[in-house]
Amino acid sequence: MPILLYRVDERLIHGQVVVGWGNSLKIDLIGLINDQVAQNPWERELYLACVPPEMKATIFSVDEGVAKILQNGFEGKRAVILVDSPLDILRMVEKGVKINSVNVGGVHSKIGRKKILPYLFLSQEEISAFKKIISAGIKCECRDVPLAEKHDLGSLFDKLRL
Amino acid sequence: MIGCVILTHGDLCFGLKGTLEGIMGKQEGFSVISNVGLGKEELISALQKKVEQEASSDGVVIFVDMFGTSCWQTAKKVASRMSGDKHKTAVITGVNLPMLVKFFTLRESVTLSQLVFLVKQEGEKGIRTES
Repeated sequence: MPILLYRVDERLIHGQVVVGWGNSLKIDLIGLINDQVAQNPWERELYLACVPPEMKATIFSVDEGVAKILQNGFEGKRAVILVDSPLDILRMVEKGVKINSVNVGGVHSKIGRKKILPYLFLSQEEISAFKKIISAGIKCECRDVPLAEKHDLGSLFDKLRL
Repeated sequence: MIGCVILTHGDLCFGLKGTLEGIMGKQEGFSVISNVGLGKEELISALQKKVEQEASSDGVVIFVDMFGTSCWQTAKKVASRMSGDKHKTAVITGVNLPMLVKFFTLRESVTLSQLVFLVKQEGEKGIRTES
């Protein structure tokens, strides 16, 4: 089975992911791909503590995560991939990962970010990364929790003239 | 006097503060903060500010509503930054009203570690099933 969901979510493993998406997709494996978390034992432990007993989670750097995906390392699992930034999705795509669509979850306010949706604030760099992802033919769909309304990110950029 | 900061999702923290103070009267050294509208780093610095404000030489407790959530991660990060004798910080998850009543009843008469133990016990004792 291919990976069920590639999700951009600044909070990585948290309630919306393990409860919301976990229940609706029957996730049994989370692949958390993030260079900073991967090299920080304290943060690894923090995120792994947030995984409920019915799921497993593995933490990878971007390079390790890409290698695992390209080797079909998630085969036979109901897996989701979590990253905290579109920049990491772009890096994965550039390293050869084939992605059909990206789920855009919470990326919250911060100095220098513009509001796109109540749960989505993006910097210019993040907007450019998403635009490159969209022009590579990858659908970017904003939806924080499974029952929420979907918004196509490309159309939102057009509407906001970004 | 041990300080108190409650961090929750949504409006829960405001409801808890209002209800607790409705029962026990206005409390000193008590702040609440919601995660709504704040980015990850913004929430960390906002919580840190509140914790520094309520901390005393007796310590401070950060209550969060749910273990394993972004609120809990934020509380853990702030608590780890606050280490040192001056700002002894404890994190307690699953905050409910019986826990808060216990906390504010005892916070001037016991140590931080005793208080954490007693508050946890009170929270667990408050959950009963009737059938």
